[in-house]
Formats: sequence, structure tokens, C-alpha cells
Amino acid sequence: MITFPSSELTDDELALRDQVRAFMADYRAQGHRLQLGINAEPDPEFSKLISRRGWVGMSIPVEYSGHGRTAVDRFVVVEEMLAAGAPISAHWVGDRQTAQMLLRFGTEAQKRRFLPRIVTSDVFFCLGMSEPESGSDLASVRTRATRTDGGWILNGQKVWTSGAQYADYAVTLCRTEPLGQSKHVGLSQLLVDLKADGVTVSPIRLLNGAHHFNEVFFDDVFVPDELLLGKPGDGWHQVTSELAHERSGPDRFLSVMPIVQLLYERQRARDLDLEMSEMLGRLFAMYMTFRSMSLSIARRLDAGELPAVEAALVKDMGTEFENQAVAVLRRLVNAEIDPRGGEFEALLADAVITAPTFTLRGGTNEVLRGVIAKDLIRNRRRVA
Amino acid sequence: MINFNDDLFEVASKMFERKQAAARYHAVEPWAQDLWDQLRTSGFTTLGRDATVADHCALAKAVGAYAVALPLVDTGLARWAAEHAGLSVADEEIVVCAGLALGDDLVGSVDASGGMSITGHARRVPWASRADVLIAPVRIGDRVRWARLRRADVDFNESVNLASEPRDDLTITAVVPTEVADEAPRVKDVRARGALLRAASGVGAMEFALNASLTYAEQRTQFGRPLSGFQAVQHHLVMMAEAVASVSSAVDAAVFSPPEQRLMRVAAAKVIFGEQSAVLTRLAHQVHGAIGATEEHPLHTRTRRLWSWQDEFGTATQWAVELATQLVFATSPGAWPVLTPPLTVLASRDVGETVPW
Repeated sequence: MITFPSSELTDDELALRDQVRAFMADYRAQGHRLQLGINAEPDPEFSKLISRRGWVGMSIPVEYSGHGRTAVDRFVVVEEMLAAGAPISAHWVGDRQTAQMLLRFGTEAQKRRFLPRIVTSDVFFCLGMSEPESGSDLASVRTRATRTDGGWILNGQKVWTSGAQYADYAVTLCRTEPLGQSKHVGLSQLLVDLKADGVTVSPIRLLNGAHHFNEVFFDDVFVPDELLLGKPGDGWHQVTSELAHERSGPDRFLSVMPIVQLLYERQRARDLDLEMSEMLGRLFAMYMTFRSMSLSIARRLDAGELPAVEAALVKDMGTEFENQAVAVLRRLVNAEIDPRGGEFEALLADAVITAPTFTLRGGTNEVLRGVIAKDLIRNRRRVA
Repeated sequence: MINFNDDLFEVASKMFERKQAAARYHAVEPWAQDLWDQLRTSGFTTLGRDATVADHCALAKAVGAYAVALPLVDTGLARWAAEHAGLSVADEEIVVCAGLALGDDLVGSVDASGGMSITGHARRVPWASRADVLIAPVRIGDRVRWARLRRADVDFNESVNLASEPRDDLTITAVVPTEVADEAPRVKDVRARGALLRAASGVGAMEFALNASLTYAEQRTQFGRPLSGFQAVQHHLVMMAEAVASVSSAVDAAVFSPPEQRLMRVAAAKVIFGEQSAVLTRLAHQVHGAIGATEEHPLHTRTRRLWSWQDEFGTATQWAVELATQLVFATSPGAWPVLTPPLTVLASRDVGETVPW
């Protein structure tokens, strides 16, 4: 049953929010360029800066040098950062999901080795999932690791690997047993050191020339046993169990909020005409609602639940909405966009050009709808 | 699924389930006296301030889920307003609010002997033709006070909404009110509460339409497989589920809102309800095919209500404009802070309730 009970932030959570908000106001006052969500230019210095504030790896337990905070605490920090256009990409993958994955499936040695360095932004991760012949159909990956003395020999190719140009490790889904009856069996995840011999990273430029994506080639790469995540053959279960973390967050509806903020700053002292009021009011209502839904999921994560279907729903709706928001912003501007025309126009240009990726990255919306439909039909059959 | 108050929703649902009539089109919905009597016996027709806004919304949701053609929601609203105003309403009386539509104007004047009379008009008053008593905001000098009128003293032009529920235009000419209150809940608060109740009813109707569509898509076979096996149909079903989830989340956020944010949450909920119920009704009919567009199929009993309720107590457009009007102001720290209260500077804006909900 799909459900989103509402909740409010507690006083402690609000105090945290105020700290982050003040920090970001100060950061922006220093003249840093605003960034659009997870398309942000990586800025390891920024990641280290907020690590020192205790805002990376927040939910990692204290015994692994984390802060032992909640999923909602992380939600609070992340939504403030995204709304303020912070450059969050460098630490993003490790903070959002690799840490969760290590906590849940990693060996004790892996936890001790990586978690403290995630907290300090001394290690960055990227995700080696998609392959040239394996996009939405992730379980069909062909990259394979074969047993060798003390580890694995990895061969294959990954594509659309965001951040491989600066990440230290790629969490790489690969086949560790020959393909049998079920393609979900025999997959594992390796933590591949991107500086290792045999790894080649080459850029794939986005349609605006930006460098987020890469191809990553593995040519007889040796991966020691201690970098196999959890147990061999557990890969598919690991990948699918973190989807509630990956899909439900504010990054799925706040990508263009920095542009809305800039527009708002221009308009707040002026009289709004009726059309602009209506368009802004509709945008506001959507932002308020997605925020409630996303917060609701964070609360459930803290309660030990993994609401994967709700997360898929938020990601599908939220990313469709981000595209609508771009369309509304364009109607409000009602003029040609000059990509060199100042901060607002440059950001809007970026948003228009990169919006097609919003509904693709991290699982296409068509795949998400398949997940939701299956759940709806299964529940209906149970009731009937 | 969010029922606002599960126990109350269940009790009301059981009562409505037993009284479900076969789907038919009526020019005006017939009056189900036996169900009204049962609701009265159960104490549901006299709930006012004694019940929480969550209780009222739970009943409203059940009314929507079962397409109950009775003024249960509107009497609940009117009793709450009357009790805040200090107007008396007898238990057996059916009471509704008049004069809440934008542009309505009722003016009270006092004659030489100190007697008051009211003149003006009120449009699209829910269930007025079925009420014993009307309560309405009346301009007296530069103040607005709530007055209690006998329905029998008022002229009306009977009409209906798209679901054949009575929505009547009133003409009031020198009518002497039976009571005038000193205290007044603001018209804006009462209208907003009405908007929230309509959205809560909408959640019930939307859930029905989604479930009916899922059931039909499972049962109906074409090209050798159930409709639910077609990806295009699955995507329709998902968008309907998203519509239900977003509206129930927005309504839940308004129901359980801190008082100082209530009106902005209601505005958002009514906007989302308007947008998403439009998506859902279109897709529900698309999934059902031609059978869903007949009078014998119960789908229309919910979709016709949704088409009306999205406009009642303020359209999505009106509430969107209101939301922007309150949230865009010169001393605001920015868009994101005003969307995520609490925020001290919002205290200067009209975004919270002024009487307890």
C-alpha cells in the first residue's frame, strides 16, 4: 500500500537546518557560482569544508567515525544544500548510497577502511552500473570477474559513469559466476580502485559540453578479495536494496530550485501580475508537496523501513516535475535565453539543455513506472 | 492510504457501504432520508468544534469514497463556523454556510427601531435548498458579522454541480436574521476549511477511481491478455496512483499542519488536488473505455464529483494566486525559506489560521 504520512521537523532538526542555511548564505555571499543539483561541478574542497562541519556521512555510526545522525538529519542538510545551489557532487554518491551499502553489506574491515574516509571526504565513489548493452536492463551486465589468487581479475566496460574522472573507487556490478537460468544470480559488486593498472577512464561529454559521464574500461584489472563487497553472488540484492535511499531524496525534485530562487529574488519586491502569480503559486504547491513526500520517506528510513515503491514514485513524479518547472520558468521569462547573459540566464540555459537527463539518471522513469505498476497490481490481487 | 482518522473513516464507510445505490444519472441527486437519519442517530450530523479537523476530513473522505449525496460535510463546516461565531443551531436542523463564494455580498442594515435586515446575493450555496438554516457573513458598516437566517425567508434559484448535487443561488431581500453574532471566524478561514474538506473528499473519490481502474484493468482481456499487462495502460495506472499519493500527502500535510501554516498548506493542497484530480479523472475514463462513460457504471459518481470539487471553495487557479500573493513579498529571505516554514518573517503574512481548526 503506497502511503506518505506527513511529518514536521523537530526543534533539533530545525536548529540543524538554520546552521546549514546560514552557512550556505555565507558561502554564496563569497561569490560562488550556483550549481544545479547533482549535475554540479565537483568541488572536493567544498566537500571537505562541509565534512569539517559534520555534514557528510551523517548517518554513519560513531564507531566508524560518523556522526550517528538520522536519515532526516541528512535530508535536512541535503535539501538546504540543493536549494542553495551547492556543489555537492564530489561526495554525493558515497554519502547517499555507498555508505549505506557498506554499513549493510560490507565486511568489518571494509567498514573500518572506507566509512571514516567518507565522513572526511577523503574518499569519493562512483557507480559502475550501466554498460553499452545494459542500460535499464541492469542485470544483463557483461563485465565479469574471474577468480585468481587472492582476488579477482576484472574485464569489461562501463558507461555513463558519473564522476569516474575524480572518484577514487567505482562500485562495480559484475558477473562473478557464469550466466545461468536467472540473470539476477551470480552478480557481485567490487570496489574497484580507479588508479589500478588496467583501468582506463575516458570522458563522454554531455550535450552542453560538460564532463559528468565517462566510459570506464577494465582490462585484466586485479581486484583483491578484500574489495569484494560483502559476499560473492550478493550483487543484485545489494543493488536493489538501496533504491529507497537512492531514489527518494530531495535531489529528485530540487535540481532547478536555485533558478526559482534567483527569479524569486528579482520578483519579490515587485507587483506580480495574475499570470505570474498563478504560475508561481502552482510551482510552490508542487515544491511543498514533493518536499512532504520526500521527508515522509526519510522518516520511514529512520524507522527501519525501505519504502522502495514510494521512492520510485517520488523520483518519477519529482523528475517529471523538474521538467515542468523548467517549462514554467521559460514561460515566466518569455524571451530568448542567452547562455552568456548572467547567472540567471546561464543557469536556465543549463537547465533547459540538461533537463532530459533528469528523467534518465538513476533508473529511467519508464523503469520506475514498471516497478510501481507491478506493486499496484500485486496489491490489487491481494485485496481481490 | 491516509484516512486522517482510521476509526471514524471505517465506521462511516461501513454505514455508507450498506446504503450504496445502483449507479444512475439523476438531474438532481435524490435525498436519502434513511441514511441521513442514521447519520443523525450516530451523531455525525452534529459534529462541530468538538471534533478535530482530522475527524471532519475522515468523514469527508468517506463521503467521497462512497459518493454520498448528503450535506454531511457542509453541515460539519457550518456547525464549526457557527460555534466559533457563537450562533446557535439546534441538533435536528440542517445548516449550511452561504456567502463564501468570491464576489458574494450580503449587507446588513439597521433601521430606526434597531432591527436588522439583510440584503444581497450568494452564489452556488451547497445544499441550500435542503437546509433549514443558513449562516452567512454579512457586512455591517465596516465589520463582517455572521448571521443566522431561516432558509424559508430566502429566495433561490435551484441549480446543481456537475455531480447533480444541489448548488443554489440565493437572493436575499430585507430578510430579518434570527440571530447575529459578535464573534466571527474570518470568511477566508471558513472558505479555506471548505477547500480542505473538498480535497479530503476528493482523496476518497480518487482512491475509488484508482481501485476501480486497477480492478477493471485486471479483469478486462483484449488481444489475449489483461489490460494491466499492457505497458501503456500500466503507465496510466501509475500516473493515477501518483495523483492519489500526491493529493493525499498534501491534504495530510494541511490537516496535521501547525496552526500558523494552515492556510498556505490548504492552498497548496487545493492546487495539487485541482491539478492531479484532472489527471486522474481523464486516465480513469481512458482505462475504463466506453463502459466507464455510461450511467450504469459507478465511475461517474466519483469523477463527476471530482470535476466539481476541484473548483468548489476556490479553484486551483485562485488558490495558486493566493499562495503566490502570500509567499512573494519584499522582506522575504527567499523562495526556499518561505516554502519550508517555520519562518519568523512569515508571521507578517496571512498564511495561518486565525481561529482554532
